Amino acid sequence: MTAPRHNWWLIVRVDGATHCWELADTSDPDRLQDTVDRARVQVQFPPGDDWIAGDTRQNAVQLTQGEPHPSLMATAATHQLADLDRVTAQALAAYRAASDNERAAARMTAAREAVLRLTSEQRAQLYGDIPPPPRGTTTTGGRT
Amino acid sequence: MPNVPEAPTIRDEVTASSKWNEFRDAIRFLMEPPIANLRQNSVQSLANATLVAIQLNAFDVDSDVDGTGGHDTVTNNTRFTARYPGWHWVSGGVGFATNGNNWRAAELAVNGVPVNGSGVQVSAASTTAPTMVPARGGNLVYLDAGHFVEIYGWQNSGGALNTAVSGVQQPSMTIRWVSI
Repeated sequence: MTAPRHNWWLIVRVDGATHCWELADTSDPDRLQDTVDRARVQVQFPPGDDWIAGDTRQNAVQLTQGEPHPSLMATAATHQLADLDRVTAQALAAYRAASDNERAAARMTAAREAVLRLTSEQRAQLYGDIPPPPRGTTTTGGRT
Repeated sequence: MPNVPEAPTIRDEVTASSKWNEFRDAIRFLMEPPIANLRQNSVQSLANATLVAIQLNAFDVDSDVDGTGGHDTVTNNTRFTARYPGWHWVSGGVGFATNGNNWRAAELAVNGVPVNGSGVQVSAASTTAPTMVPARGGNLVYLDAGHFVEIYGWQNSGGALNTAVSGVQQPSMTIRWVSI
């Protein structure tokens, strides 16, 4: 893609506050991801994925090209990119681990909900025929 | 920025050519309202779990009554910037490269602020085919002159993921001025 004439900017919204960083170089995806994660740690963005959370706090992590609109800049705290170097490796690792846990939990929830939506015939196709319980037993913890 | 031309108020016979020209300008504006169909045909890498403004480096049409348009395919090419104030109908979508992990999403933003009700989130379609996600179609957003709208893509495959830019898979955004 043609190199943009303007730098990319990172915008993080969390708990009603807006934070901005002007990014110097976004050509290395790994380095960019590292920058984004450090910013999330620095402003205490909740671990996990803001979109999946489906919350109403309007938290968001965004990358946009060019300096954000003046109306956004007027209310945003603009930080120096170098400040992100102060985020320790330990804090970054802990944040990523917490995010991984959140994502795993979201995946499990989605999988469980998908199974619950299946018809009994579809479940049988997926998991094989499950024989009915023997006469005189129940599947409700012994209560009839 | 130019004003939206409006038909004059007439209280007597229309004899002055300037009044007829005002009618002409208003009708011409309605016949050639600001419209744009913007696309991406060159791959963009999208960071994990981050809303990324989609670069739109190609277009089918980007026009208005004076032929200027609101988009630049190079400088800040994520933006459609309104030249005429008013309500704009905006739609679009994002194509994500093949990857079966987790979720994909698309949404619109005005001046960097997400548009409420514009988002769509789906699980990745397949491990063998790209996933295309529309922002919710037909959003009406008010743009003052100089305000801009963007479409954002989001994915949490676990690492950076490219856009899909082959033919119908291309990310795109469509804008039409509809009302003052």
